[in-house]
Amino acid sequence: MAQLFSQLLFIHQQALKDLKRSLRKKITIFITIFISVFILFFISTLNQSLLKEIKSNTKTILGGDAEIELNNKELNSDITNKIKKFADLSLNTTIASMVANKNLNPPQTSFVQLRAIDNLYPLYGEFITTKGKVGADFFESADQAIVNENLAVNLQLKEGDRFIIRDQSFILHSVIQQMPDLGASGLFGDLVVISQQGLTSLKITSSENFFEYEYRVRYFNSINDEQGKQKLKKLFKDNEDIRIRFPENTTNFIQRILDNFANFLSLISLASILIAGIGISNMIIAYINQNYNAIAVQKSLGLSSLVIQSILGYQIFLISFFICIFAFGLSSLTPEIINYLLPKELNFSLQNTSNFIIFIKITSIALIAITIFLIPALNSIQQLSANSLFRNTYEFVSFQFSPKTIIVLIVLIFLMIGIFTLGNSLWLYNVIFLSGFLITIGLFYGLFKMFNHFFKKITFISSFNLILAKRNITSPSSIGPMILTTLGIGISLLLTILIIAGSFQNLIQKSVDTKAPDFFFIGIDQSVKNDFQNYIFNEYPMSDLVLVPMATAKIKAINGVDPLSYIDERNSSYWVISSERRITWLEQPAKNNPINEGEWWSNNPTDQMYISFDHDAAKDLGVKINDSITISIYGRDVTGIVKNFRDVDYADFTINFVMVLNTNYAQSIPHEYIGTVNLSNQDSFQEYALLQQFPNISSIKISNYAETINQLLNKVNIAVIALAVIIIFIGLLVISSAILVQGKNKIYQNLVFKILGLNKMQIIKTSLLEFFILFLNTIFLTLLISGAASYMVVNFIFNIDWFLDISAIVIVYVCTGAFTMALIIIDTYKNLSPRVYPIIRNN
Amino acid sequence: MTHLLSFSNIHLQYQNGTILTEVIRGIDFVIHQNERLAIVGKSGSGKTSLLMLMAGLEKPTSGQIIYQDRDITSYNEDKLTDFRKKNIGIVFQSFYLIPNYTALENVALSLEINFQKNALSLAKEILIDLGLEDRLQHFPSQLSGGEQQRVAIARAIIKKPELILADEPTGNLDDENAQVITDLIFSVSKKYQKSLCLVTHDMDLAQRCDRIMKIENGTIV
Repeated sequence: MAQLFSQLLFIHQQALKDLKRSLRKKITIFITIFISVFILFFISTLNQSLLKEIKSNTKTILGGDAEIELNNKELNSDITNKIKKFADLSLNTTIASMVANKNLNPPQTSFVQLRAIDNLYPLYGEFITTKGKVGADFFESADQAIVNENLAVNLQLKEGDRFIIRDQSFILHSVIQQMPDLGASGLFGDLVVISQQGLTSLKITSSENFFEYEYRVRYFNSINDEQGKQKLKKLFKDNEDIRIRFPENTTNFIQRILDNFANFLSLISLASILIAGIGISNMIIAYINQNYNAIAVQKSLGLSSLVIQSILGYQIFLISFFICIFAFGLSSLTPEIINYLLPKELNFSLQNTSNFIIFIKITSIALIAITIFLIPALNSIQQLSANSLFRNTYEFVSFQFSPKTIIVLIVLIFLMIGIFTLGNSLWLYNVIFLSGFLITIGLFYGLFKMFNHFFKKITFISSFNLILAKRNITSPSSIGPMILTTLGIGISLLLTILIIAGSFQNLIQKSVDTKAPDFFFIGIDQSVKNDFQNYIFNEYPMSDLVLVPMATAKIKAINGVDPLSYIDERNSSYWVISSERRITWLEQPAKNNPINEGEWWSNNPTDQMYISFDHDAAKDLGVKINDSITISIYGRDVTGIVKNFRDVDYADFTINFVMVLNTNYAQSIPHEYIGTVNLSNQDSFQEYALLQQFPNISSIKISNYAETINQLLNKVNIAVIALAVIIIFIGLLVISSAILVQGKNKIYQNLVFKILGLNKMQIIKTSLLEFFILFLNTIFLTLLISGAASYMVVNFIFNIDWFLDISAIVIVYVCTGAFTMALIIIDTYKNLSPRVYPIIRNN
Repeated sequence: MTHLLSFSNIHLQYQNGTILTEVIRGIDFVIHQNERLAIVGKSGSGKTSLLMLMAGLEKPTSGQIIYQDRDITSYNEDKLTDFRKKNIGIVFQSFYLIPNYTALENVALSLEINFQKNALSLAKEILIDLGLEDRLQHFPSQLSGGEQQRVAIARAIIKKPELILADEPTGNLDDENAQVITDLIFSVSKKYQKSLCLVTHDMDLAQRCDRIMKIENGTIV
C-alpha cells in the first residue's frame, strides 16, 4: 500500500514537473479542449435556461390560463357569462389585412396580421409601446393603431401619422416595444393592433377567411389551475368543434423544437471534442518522438512503460479536468450575457440553471472522449526500447492497437455515447450521428493509408521537389493523417450543412423563379369576385389570373373513426387533422397537383361528395382510395369518398390544398375566393390602387414572402454554420499544434538538406507541394463524404432536390486551404535555414 | 600542387546574448588538390568550426576564403549552398542520416539535389560497392553504427566532390568498424583523387594523412 502511494506520488510529481516544462507546446491542444467543452456546457446551460424560462412563462406565452379556439365563431353569451363566474375572459380578434401609407410617393402597402384587443389584454405579461403601458385612451378610440417596429420603418410612419387599414384612416398611436405573444404574428411578419372599437369601424365580417376569435381566460385567485381546467372542460365537453389549449400544450411544441435544436448543436460540439482528441493523440505521439532519448533513458533507469504512460496521461487528465471546471463556471455566466443580447420585446429573462448533474455528465463525456484517443498514443511507448541508446538510432513510434486496446476502446465509445444519449428522446439519431462520425474518422485515416500505399508505388516522378514531397508525405512522421482527419471532418461537416441549406434556398428560389406566381390574393368575397377579375384583366391585360373557391372544414372521422384517437401528434401530417383546413373544389385537377393514384371523377354527382387527397398526407394518416372521410363544414358534418391522391408540393408557393372536392357537390358551400396572378412585369403592379378598389382583398408579393422565409432560414443556418466553422477552427488549431511539435524534426531535416546543398526555395517548394497534394486529397474526400451525406439527408429526410452551391464550396476550400498553407509556410520559413554550428556542437 | 582552398586571416566569432566568443583567431592555411589533411586539437579548439567554414556552412567574421580562385566569403547563403552542393561532401561523427529515408534514399538525395538522372540506380551501385546490398531499403534505425556511417560516406562521395570533409567519422564506432571506415574514406579519396580534410583526436589516424595541422585556442600551432 505504501509502495503504491509512493508510486502515485512520484507520478503526480513527475507529471507536474513535465507539465511546467512543456506547457507552451501543449497549450494549443488545451485551448481546443476548452473551446469544445465550453460549447457543450454553453449549449446545455442555454437549453436548460430557455426551457426553464419557457416553463415559468407558459401562461404569458399562451396569453392566459387557457385559450379557447373557435376560429370564426363567437362564444354565445350564455357560455361567456358562465366563464365570467370563475375567470376573466379576454377577446382578441385577428384577420389578415392590408395597410398603406398613401402619403408616400408611390404609396406603400404591406400585408399584416390585424389584431383587435380588448382592455383586459394582456392577461399575463405586459404590453408596452413607445408611449409606455397602453391606456384607456387607446381602448376607447376607434381610429388609433399600434404597429410593430418593422412596419413603422417600412411604411415610414411616426407617432401621430395617418395611414390606411383597408379603406379606413387610422392614426399611429405608438410602436410596440414589448408584447407577450409578439411571435404569434408568425408568418404574417408584421402586426397592427387596434381596439375592438376600431374593428367595428372596419366593418369586417366573421365570414371572411382567416378571421379568428381568440378567447383567453385567467382564473380568479380563488380558483387553482386544475379546478379552472376542469370547469372549462366541463363547459365545452359537448362541443367537439371547440378546442381548448392549456399552457403545457403550447410549450410542449416549443420545448420539442428547442430540445431538437440543442441536441443537434450538442452533437456538433461533441464532434469538436473528438477532433480535439485527435489532436491530443497526435501531440502525445509527437512528444514521445521528440523525447525519444529521454524516455529511453528513463526506461534504462528502470521506469516501466506503465509509469511513463501514467505520467503523460495524468497530465492530460489533470488539465482537462480543470478545463472542464473552468468551462462549466464560464458557461454559468452565459444566461446573463444572452439576456443582454436578446431583443427586449421577447421579455425573456434567462436564469442560471447550471447544476452538478450537467457538470458530471459533460465532464465524463469529455474525459472519456479524450481517453479514447489517449490510449493508442500512450501505448506507443511500449514500442520504444532503451537499447536504442546503444545504437544511437532513432525510430518513429506510431499508434499501437492491440486486441485488448480495441476492446477497451469499444467499451469506452459505448460508454461515451450512452452518457451522451441518456434521457434523450433522440437517442437513435445521436447514436447514428456519433457512429457515423467515428466511422468517418476511421475512413479518412484508412483512405490516407490507402493513398500512401499507392503514392509510394509511383516511381516515374522526375521532379525533385515532388520526390521529396512524396517522401515526406509517406513517411511515418507525416502530418498528412492529421490534416486529412481534422480538417477533413470539419470541412465535411460544414459542406454538408451548406449543401443542405443551399438545397432549401434553391428550392425556394426555383419556386419563385419558375412555378410561383407574382402575387397571391386572399379575402376575395363572392360578391366582388367578378369585379376583381375584370379589374385585373383590364389593368393588366397580359396577366394570367387564377381564382379558386375556398371554404373551411375540419376532418371529423376517417372511415367513421376520429383520427385524433389514433394518430400521434408526432405524425408528420398531424397538422391535417388537428384543426380546420381550407378546402376547394375544381372541375379538373390543378396542373401543379397531378394525380398519382386513383382517378378524377368523370361523373361529378351533386349528391355525393368526392374527395381528392394529398398523397403524402394520405400515406401518413393511413387513408386509402375509396375510404370515407367525414368533414365538418360550417357546423355540418358531411361524408365523402376518397377517389384519388394528388402530388402536392406546398413549397412551390402556388395554390395547394390537402382536400379538393367535386364541384357539383361543393358549389353551394358558402365560400370566398383566393387567387394568384402572373404578370408580364411584377413591378408594374399597383398594390395601393388595388387596395383602394377592393379594401378587403389582401395582396402578397411572393418574392417578398420568399425573402422573409430565406431570412428565417439564414438565421437558423447561422447558428449551425457557426458551430461547423468552430469545428474547422479547432481542426486548424490541432493542425497548427501538429506543425509546431514536428518543428524539431523539421529543423533536423532542414539541417541535413542545408548540409547537402538544398536551397531555401527548394525547401519551400517541397513544403508547398506536400501541402497541395494533401489538400487535394482532402478536397476529394470531403466532397465525396459531404456530397453523399447531404444527398441522403436532402432526398430521404426532407424529400427535396439536392443542389450544389459551387461558390460556397469554393469559398470554404479557399479559406481553409489558405489558412493551413499560411501555417505551414510560417513554420517552414522559421526552420528554413537552421544555424548549423550550435546544433552540431550540442548534438 | 595546386591550391584547392585557401584561408587568409580568418576570424570567427559567435554572439550568445551579450557574450562574444572568438572561436577562430586569424588562421591562414591552404588545402591542395588531392591532399589529405588532418586537423587535430583538443575539444573546443575550433576544429569543427574550421570545417564549417570550409563547407560554407558558416561565414567568417573577417578574412577571406578562396576556393579554386573564387572568393566564397562574398557569397550569400544561396550561393554558398550551391557551392556546397557541387563541391563538398561531409561525413559527421553522428552520421546525420534522415531517419525516415531508407539507406538508398539517403544516398540518392545527394544526386537528386544536383538533378542527376538515375540517382537511385547510382546510389544502389555505390551501396553495393560498400557491402550494403542487403540494407538498401533499411531505415537508419535498422542499421548498425558502421553501416550508418558507410551510408553517410556513400552520400558524401557519390557526387564526387572536390573536397571531402570528415568530422571525427569514427568517433561513434568500435575499433573494427572504425578501421573499416577509415580505410574506406582514404581509399575513396585516393581513388577519385579528391582532397580530404579530416578532423580527429586520433593521432594514428592523423598520421595516415599527408599533412597534420594542429589547432589550439582558434589558432594554428
